Amino acid sequence: MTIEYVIVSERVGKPGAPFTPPEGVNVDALLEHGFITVKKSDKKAEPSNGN
Amino acid sequence: MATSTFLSNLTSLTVNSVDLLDQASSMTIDNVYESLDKTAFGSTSRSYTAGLINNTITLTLYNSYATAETYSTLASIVGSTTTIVASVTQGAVTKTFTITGCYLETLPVVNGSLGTLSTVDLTFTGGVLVAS
Repeated sequence: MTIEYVIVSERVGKPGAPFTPPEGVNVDALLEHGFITVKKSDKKAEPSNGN
Repeated sequence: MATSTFLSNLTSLTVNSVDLLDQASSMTIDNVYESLDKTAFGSTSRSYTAGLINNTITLTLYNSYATAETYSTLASIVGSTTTIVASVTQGAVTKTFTITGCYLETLPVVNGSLGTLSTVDLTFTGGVLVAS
């Protein structure tokens, strides 16, 4: 499963736009200091009712 | 005689994808080929051949501890590798230099003196340089 990122800081790009990490970029550092965030899934988890 | 002169002027600078152009006052990118001594007996002067490429990138940035500024950009990449992209424009020509996998060994966390703006001098080493 591929993790998708969203831009938070204007220093990285347009806030709200998807962020595709260029080669060699330290994504953990960007996440740690709030430059980007992990995109939350739009899909609700399907309940498992066992039927 | 210089055939092409221009005011030294970066038009874009990102460190680890973070735009730091407005915090930078100086930058140098050196494309370095380590020299290997191949002087042999009988020679009267030393001669060299190229060894590994060991690029050096130096940056001077104004220091700021505010959110999404200098310190927060650099604090988590010291001791690791990152990507730097810098563009220089001369008239209609723009050259973009991308250094992938360059290593930041030292981050000065405090550097200041009375009556001056605080700056940090950084040296990135290694990595692969591509000019486009």
